[in-house]
Amino acid sequence: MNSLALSIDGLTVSFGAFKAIDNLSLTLDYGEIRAIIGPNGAGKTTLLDVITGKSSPRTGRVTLSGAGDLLAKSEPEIALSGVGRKFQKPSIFEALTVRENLRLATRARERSIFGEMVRHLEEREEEKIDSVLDTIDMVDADRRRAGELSHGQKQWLEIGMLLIQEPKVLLLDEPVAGMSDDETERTAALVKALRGPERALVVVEHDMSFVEEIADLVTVLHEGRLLVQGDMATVKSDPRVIEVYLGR
Amino acid sequence: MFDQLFSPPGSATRPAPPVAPLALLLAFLGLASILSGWTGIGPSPYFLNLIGQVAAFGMLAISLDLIWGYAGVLSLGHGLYFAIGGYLIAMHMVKVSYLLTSTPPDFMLFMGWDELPGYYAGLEWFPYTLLLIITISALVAFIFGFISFRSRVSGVYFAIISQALVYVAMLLFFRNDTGFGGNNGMTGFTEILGQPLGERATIAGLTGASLLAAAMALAVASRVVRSRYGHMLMAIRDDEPRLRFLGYETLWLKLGVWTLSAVIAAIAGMLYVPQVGIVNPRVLSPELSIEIAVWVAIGGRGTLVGAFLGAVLITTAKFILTAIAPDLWPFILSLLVLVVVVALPNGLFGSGETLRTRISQLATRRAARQAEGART
Amino acid sequence: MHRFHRAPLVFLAVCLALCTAGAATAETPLRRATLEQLCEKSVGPRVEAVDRLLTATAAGEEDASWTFAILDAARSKGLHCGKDAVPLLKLEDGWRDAASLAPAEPPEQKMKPPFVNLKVRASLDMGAALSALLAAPGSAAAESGLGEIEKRPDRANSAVIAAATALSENAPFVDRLGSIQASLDLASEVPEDRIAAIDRIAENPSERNRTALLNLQAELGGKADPVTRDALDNAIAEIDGWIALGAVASTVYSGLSYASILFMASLGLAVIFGLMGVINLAQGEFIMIGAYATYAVQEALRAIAPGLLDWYLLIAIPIAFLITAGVGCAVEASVIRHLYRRPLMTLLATWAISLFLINSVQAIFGTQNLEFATPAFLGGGERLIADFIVTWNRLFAILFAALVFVAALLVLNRTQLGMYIRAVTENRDMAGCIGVSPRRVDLISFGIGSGLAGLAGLALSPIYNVNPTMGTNFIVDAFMIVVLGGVGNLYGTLIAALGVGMINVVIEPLYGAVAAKVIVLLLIIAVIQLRPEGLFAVKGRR
Ligand SMILES: Nc1ncnc2c1ncn2[C@@H]1O[C@H](COP(=O)(O)OP(=O)(O)O)[C@@H](O)[C@H]1O
Ligand SMILES: [Mg+2]
Repeated sequence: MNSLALSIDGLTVSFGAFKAIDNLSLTLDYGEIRAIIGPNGAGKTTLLDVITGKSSPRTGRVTLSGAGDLLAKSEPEIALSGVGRKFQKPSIFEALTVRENLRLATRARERSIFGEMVRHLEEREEEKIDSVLDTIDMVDADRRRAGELSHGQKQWLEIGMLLIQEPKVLLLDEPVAGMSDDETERTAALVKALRGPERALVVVEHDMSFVEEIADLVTVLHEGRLLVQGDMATVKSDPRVIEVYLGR
Repeated sequence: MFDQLFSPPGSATRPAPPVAPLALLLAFLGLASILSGWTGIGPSPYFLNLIGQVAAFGMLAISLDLIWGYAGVLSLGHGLYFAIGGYLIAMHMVKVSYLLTSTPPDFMLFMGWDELPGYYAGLEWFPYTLLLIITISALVAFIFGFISFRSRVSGVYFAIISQALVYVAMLLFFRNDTGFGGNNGMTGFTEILGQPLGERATIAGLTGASLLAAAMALAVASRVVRSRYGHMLMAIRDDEPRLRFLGYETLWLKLGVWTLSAVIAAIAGMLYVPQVGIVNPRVLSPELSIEIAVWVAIGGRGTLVGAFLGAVLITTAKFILTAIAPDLWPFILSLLVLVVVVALPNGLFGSGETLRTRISQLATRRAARQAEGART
Repeated sequence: MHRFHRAPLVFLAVCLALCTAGAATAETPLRRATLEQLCEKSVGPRVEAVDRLLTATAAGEEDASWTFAILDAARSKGLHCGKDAVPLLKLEDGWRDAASLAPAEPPEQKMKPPFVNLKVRASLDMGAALSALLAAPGSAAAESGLGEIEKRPDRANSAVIAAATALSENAPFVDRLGSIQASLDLASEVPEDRIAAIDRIAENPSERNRTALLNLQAELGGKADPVTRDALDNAIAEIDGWIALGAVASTVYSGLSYASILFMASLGLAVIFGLMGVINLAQGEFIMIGAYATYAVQEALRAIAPGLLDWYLLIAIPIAFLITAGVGCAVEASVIRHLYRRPLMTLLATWAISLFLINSVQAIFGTQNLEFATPAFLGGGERLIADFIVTWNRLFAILFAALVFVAALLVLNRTQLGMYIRAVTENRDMAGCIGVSPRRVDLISFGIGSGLAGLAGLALSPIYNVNPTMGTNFIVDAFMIVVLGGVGNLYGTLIAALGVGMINVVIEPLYGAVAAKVIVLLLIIAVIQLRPEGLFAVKGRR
């Protein structure tokens, strides 16, 4: 339960004179589900951007166990070393069918991109797609074009694509934003099912009841700095958290 | 297998037209044209020549559709690769004529040169010329693509930079001291592969070659877009960052199809120039490059058949209309583009909405806007 | 620049002649001999007659206005000769007796002007210009005559120049006469005079004076005394320095004016690109429409208020702006709006619009270049350094662009509209949430962006050719500026426009237009390697 998955050390990200993340240090363990909350503009998305290679920080280090320093790698390399990310707005390939989306997500790590271009999927991989379709409850939709799916289904499909990749660290940015209560509940179940001894899960969310339901540990960010960290009950009763959410 | 290769993916509102029938038809017409050249039976050389030219343009449209329709990268400078093929084959024919007749080409006289510049060496040999056409177009495309894609230049930026490139190339080729004929270009070719140009059999042969090449291009392109690689390309078009975060270095994916597209365009240029008997810097004009995109947009981006038919439709209409009403053609073309672009985003032959559904869509959107306007 | 306005001159000269010349002086031997010789066919006697007449005029032996009238008529084929007939002048208002300038009956026999070859023509032109100095000192006529003489000062008649200097009261005029005299003195045999002339000429550096000194140097060869030789060397070195400086200044100046046009054209492009992610391929045609609107204003003024014709450029400012802005708004509302979030299709659509506009204008106005009158206040310029002349038409373009820049800054930073534009550029959805209608902002800014292109068309109409396809000459440069300058930053656009304008103007004379474009393209490729969003882009969220 407490072997280290990802560690972030002294991270600072600035846009011009503005520091979106300010000397942030954070660790993630395998097997946990971590929620990161904080008011808008706290720097949550920016943090995920840095981990996945989309932005580069001014100072600091990000290390993934077994893969070393992530900051030196490109976005695809980071993905291949086991970091998966769901974007804030649903990101899928609309012109392709659900199954084709999942087939693309099947990216054999040991293969070069050129090898990947020409190969056919193995039996085993097709079976895995079937099982993921089952997990995200979209078996019937597998021949539909992804562009025709509902908002909730698109979110699940994107999560399904990440599941195929079996990431060591899975980052979900606001997975239930814009979902109905029913969909939110199903998503919560899905996220809980994703937990595994080989995986650390990070969920950025605003929906507190959702966070309460899934998270082991909650990290509160405020103005790019770590404000409080602890379980939900502790965090909820912390006066500083109440102040940043309600105060001023 | 064959079925899987050529059938459209997914279920669109209207399926994309299948490639196989068109490819087979083109191949059949190509063989028929060659046969007609041997037997002397069949349409007039003029008509055959027109068909050949249109086929070359169709091939050019396929090449652009590969990168724009599938990978979402719009080039407004594809005339560059067409010109590479066209100029190299022209140099080949100039060299052959010169060796045969020892009449120097006009530009040599004009510049007062006694012999052809050094880079004409070996160009009298067709296989070498073909090799050069493929390698040079691929190399130029690779370098330009690498520079642009590596720094994530895409969309409108890429389109206008590719256009600037073709424009600069045009200015360069307008110069007289480059050995490419300058302003007047190169013309006065006598033969190709030992066949005298201007004879019906040669014309029919060239037309046949163009039709066969177009069929080949369709088959190759279709093979590519139906493959796993083709799906990667469509994924780039729909959401490139998503694909990158799934572990694909999209730079190589884009470079691959970009280079392939450039080579197809160059071969189209190689087939085109002997048929019109001249090449000059106007093939590098931004207008031609934009027109290629117009064919594809009108025919249907993202469907190979649509792109090909778009080129056929527009270039045929242009041949006819510039002959009978030259002043009218630009107006017709511009209005056609506007109508297609606004009302038929998938083109005339594309998949997806038909004109009727699109119009009703526009109407409901307008109504919604008005309702919104009333509220605020 | 110094146009020799012939018609008013003739009128003036004739007037003077009629007022001052009595019938008694009409038939002097000098006049008879002059006219006889001017009517001859061969070159020698005619040139000789001009020289003699000028010398006599300078000495006060002949009336300057007569001299001018005759020489001016002779050079414009107004002097008619016939066998055994009295020579006549055919002027705009009828026939006159050449000797007396009194009105005369049209000739009964066949009379025609003697053939004027190049040599005679040069002699007559110079003679007319010289005599204008004496006929009406200080007048505009004398002024333009002086301009003519300054083109070939070494051909001037020394006596006339001396007489004109004595007559003239205007200091700059005397100064210019002095320079002409100095050019003549270069040929002097007296070393002191020659050195004085050399020094004098060095004070007024120009390509022409440099050539004059070089000629002298070549002519003297080794024969010259050391003092003269030194004086010559120094003078030439000094002139060379000034000429080099003047050439640099000239280049910078025309670079600035080209950059001004480009700036106005790309400003609109950049604002629209920042706002909607749309590149308007018809921007060049909006420039063209601005120029045609300016032309329309000029023609309208010519028809209804010729008195205001000189001010057409200023009057056209609001009109050119509004017309192009109107076309732009129409384009936005009918086409661009439907292509929201499909920027690549917008490229094709705006290309179609540009094709349509070019061909429409061609159908209405034809393909030829439009003729623009140069308003008096834009004609000419001021010679600053050597051959560097600050021409008013280019200065107009530069100042105009500077004004537009300031206005754009004010609008963007100080007005509500500007705030909306910045808000939508930064975050379209958010701006929508706080009650700014992005659609309306799009429409207005597209209109403004087009209007700016229209102003560019106005500003370039006195400098560049105006025809239906003119826009294509500017559009590629304008793209490059937008790519280089980045979006959403006025200063970026300004600096990129200056850069591209300068590169074009500096490189073009050295290595040709192609090299200039190649360099700009390479620059862009280098820039996008380092900063894909352009040199000066405001980093925004995407
Ligand atoms: N590319 C960028 N350029 C400028 N500012 C940025 C950029 N990305 C993020 N920011 C700023 O950084 C801060 C943190 O943003 P973000 O990480 O998206 O917050 P959150 O996801 O917690 O709501 C915000 O104030 C945002 O405006
Ligand atoms: Mg966020």
